Amino acid sequence: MTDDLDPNDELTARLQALGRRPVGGALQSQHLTAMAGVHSRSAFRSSLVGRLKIGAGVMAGFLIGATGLTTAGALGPLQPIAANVVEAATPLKDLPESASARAREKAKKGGNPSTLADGSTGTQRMWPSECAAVEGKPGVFAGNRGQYLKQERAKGAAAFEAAKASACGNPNGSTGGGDADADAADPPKAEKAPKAEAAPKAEAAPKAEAAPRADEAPKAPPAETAPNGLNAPEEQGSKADEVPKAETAPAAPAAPAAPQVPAVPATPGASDGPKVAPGEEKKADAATNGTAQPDPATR
Amino acid sequence: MKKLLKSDRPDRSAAAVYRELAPAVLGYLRSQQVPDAEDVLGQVFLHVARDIGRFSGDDAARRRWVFAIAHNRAMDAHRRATRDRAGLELELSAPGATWKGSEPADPFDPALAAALAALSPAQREVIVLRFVADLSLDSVAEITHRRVGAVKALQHRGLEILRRAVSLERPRTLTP
Repeated sequence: MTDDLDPNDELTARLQALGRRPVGGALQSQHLTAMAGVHSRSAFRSSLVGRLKIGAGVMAGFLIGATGLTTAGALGPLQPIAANVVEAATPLKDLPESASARAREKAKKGGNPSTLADGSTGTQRMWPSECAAVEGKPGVFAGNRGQYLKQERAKGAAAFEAAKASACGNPNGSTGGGDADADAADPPKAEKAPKAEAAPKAEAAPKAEAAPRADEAPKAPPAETAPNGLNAPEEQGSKADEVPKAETAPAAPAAPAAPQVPAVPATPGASDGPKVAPGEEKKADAATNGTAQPDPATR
Repeated sequence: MKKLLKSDRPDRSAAAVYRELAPAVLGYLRSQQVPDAEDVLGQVFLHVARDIGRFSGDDAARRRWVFAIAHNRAMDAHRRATRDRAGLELELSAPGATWKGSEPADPFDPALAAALAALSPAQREVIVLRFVADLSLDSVAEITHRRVGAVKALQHRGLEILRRAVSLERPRTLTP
């Protein structure tokens, strides 16, 4: 069928002549003038502005979509990161799973959030004006009570005593005192302390334990009222064990309890007394512990 | 960068396309019996001027692109004319109404125009695009949304009809 197109064919020549007839001059100038007013705008738009608009639209869509998903809390594992970024970059606050929202929720649950020296959140603690700051970092305090005591211990015994007496580093609202709290919270450290510091511990022990026991001592039946003194050798043995310890300690704090103890019989006939129930035996031990130092028989 | 350089000279480019292709487009529109072919020619090249910044391709592609625009405009014009004619027939049915249609301003080769009018629209479209617009079979197939084989068949039958019409016309013209 390609031989239909014969350039020498008269019909083909006449058909082609239809497409070669020139356009009238007036019509051509009219069309060219109209075209000149149209095309420059479109060329600029298609090349640069159009692409910029498309890019800006895509970017805006991405930002709006990401912000919306973050606000809705629908980003799954990326939610905390996205929430923090959006909070930092936009006026939106308290987005789901953001740092501020977590702190707020913790506060609602009863926590006591505050910003620590390192910027993290944690339990709010008391730092009165007498508390010493971390060395070389004025205005920055230790992380907690234990760290504060450790820091003060390094400065010497006097500073350590003062630190224990203070409430520095205790959680806000805590009612515990400085010393008792420190000892209860940190007994192993006290044991490891040098001899110079062991003395205060020995002092503290009678205050906390011996005083009430000394009050109870007269009431303890086996210690005072045992007629035959069956438990006496035991008591004496324990007394004998404790005596040297007590002797190393300063006598002053334990002395007041001493006069209340002499009721303990040290006679040989005491071994004939009846057996004491285990619970009562403990009471008796406690009583003897409290009264061990002044017992004249052990000396 | 090429695009920017290209769009630096859009006036010359669009004008050059007009000077090169406007005669063929006008011949195509007239052969297709498009009403107000000169106006449609202006619309075609306004479209060309508006979108030439986005066009990329060689001369053949550009020719195909321009005639595709012209084809679509011709279709629009035919549809519009059909609607207008329907409205006009309604108006003419009224008593005392007269026909005030415009005659072709620049009649060309009336015998060939009459022979083209005797073709079916599909044959005429293929013949005009193929010989007046000077497009390849592939280009015609693309513009008319037909397969190349169908275009060949339409061209073959159309040319036969045209040859017969022209051969019948010749003895008449030769007679004194």
